[in-house]
Amino acid sequence: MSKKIEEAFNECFERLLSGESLNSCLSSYPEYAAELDFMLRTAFDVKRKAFPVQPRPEFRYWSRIRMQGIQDADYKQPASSKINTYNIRRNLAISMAAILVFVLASSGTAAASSDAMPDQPLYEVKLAVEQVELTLTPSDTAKAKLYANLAEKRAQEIATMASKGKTDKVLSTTTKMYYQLDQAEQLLANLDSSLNESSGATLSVPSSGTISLPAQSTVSIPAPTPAPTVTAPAVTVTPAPITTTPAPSVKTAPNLTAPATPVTPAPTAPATSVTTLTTPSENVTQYPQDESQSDSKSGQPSARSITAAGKAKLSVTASAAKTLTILQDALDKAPDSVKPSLNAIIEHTRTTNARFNRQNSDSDTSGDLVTTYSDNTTDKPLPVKPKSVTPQTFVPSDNTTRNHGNNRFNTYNKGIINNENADSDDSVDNR
Amino acid sequence: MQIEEQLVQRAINGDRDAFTRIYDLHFDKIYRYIYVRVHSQAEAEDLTQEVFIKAYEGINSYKWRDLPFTAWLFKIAHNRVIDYVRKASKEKKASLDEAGAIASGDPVYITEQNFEVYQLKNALEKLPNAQREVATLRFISELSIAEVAKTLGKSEGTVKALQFNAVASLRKLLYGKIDV
Repeated sequence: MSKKIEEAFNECFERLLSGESLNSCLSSYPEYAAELDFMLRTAFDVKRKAFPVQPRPEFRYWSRIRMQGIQDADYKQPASSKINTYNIRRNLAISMAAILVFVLASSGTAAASSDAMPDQPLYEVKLAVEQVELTLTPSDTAKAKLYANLAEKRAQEIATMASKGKTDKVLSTTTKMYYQLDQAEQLLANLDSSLNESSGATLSVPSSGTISLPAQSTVSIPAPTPAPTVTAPAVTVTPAPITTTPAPSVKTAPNLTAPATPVTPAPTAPATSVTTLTTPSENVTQYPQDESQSDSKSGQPSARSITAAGKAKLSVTASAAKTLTILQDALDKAPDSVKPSLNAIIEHTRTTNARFNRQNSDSDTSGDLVTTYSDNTTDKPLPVKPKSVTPQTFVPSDNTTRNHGNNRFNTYNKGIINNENADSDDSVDNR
Repeated sequence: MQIEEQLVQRAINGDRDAFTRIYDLHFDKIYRYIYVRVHSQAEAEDLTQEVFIKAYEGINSYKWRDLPFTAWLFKIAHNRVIDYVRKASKEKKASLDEAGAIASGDPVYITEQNFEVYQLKNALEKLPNAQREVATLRFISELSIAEVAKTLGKSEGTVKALQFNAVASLRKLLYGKIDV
């Protein structure tokens, strides 16, 4: 007599968790196959939807410290002690001391956790330490590099988990890796925008695209340092010389000498047409520590900052390439049950790498409007192609924006399921 | 399981490192379980912290033979959530979440993920109590059937049936009618 469908569902769910393919499970219950297929997909979709729910790393970290403090205080406090002012003060002192001790001790724990894998208890500590490191990294350039390095670490972990056949850990670590690659990509894109924005080559509004300035029109920004002069169609970007004159803190909107064509502000963001044209001093105010954004004195992208951005891009691209290599190497050592998932991950990472390379070549390729900044610290000058400023408005998801979101995960899931099917078909053939 | 049993025994004997390891092992799962049942991130954080403090206070009276540790811990969480829901319904709190599950990163990514979590919480809210409990413990906190059964004090057969019905209901709520 066949099992009840509830039993069959539970058994298949467990088998899928342990890495078996969907088709192989369904073939065990042909009488329920269609219904089980729907139900299992739903169950895994519920799991996937809930996966992003994670405690904030800061909460995780401080909660752990608080818990440790409670334990330490409890350890030292006699059970019979009564609550009085002395005790409260004493407990507070003990808690503070405990926190101090824990912080000192946790540096050892943190060091020990650096090699922890996703299936080990110290892994959460490792993630918390990384999060703290990210929080303490002030510049976007350094953050991009750090994200890329973390993605590389995730790839190592995926490789280890794959070699152990732990599909669930592979998948959960993959989500983290995708997110970190996304962040690195996003930060590099922002860097590009900032540099081009600072160079003042092109103005744009979110809804109507680029404002084409009529010939001979000039946008001048009141500033004590030489203002960026923009003329169209032949746009000339004059890099400001590094000067020691401090830029005043300009808080008001820059005074634009009106272009001949009236510009209608976009209904969704009426003020953006003005604010996209950031003044040099705004840049200084927003990113005082980020060398890649602009020269701290003139507000223009300095030779040093452009080189820093270029170096960051190269470093991130190199890390991303290494990430892919690690995953590809892992494929050989992985058991068959994990291979379909790994293949989908590799394919996805390859696409991301291609975008990194494209982003790099966009910056490196000499176009019509290339300005070359030389740098004393490097042999090669870094060419920079001014691009239109990407508006930071919220737009409905299209194909491009959805790449950063869940669609990626869905595509990736689909990939796994397709691969599973393929895998399972193969196994049927072999039989 | 054996490792956890040893850890728990060490924690009962006063080994603070052992309790910290137990804490690390279960923290995310407990948080996720609570988060999908309450109204906000802040409440989920408070309750998660309370669960572990209660567990720490009660671990001396815990006996493995009565209940697996995971089930015992989730029972504490379950009771805290029940208390919270009872209190919240009296105070008529605003339904669902006012803060997203994820708060940092790419805005498009955050919005999409938070919307999915919102959809899921919404669907779970519409399930009958027993189905919601089983679905949350099984698919979101990733407990085994035996652990869910022990946590809720039900038989494994009942849990399997509730699990199946919960998935069928969630399918309808999340994606519309099933056409099999």
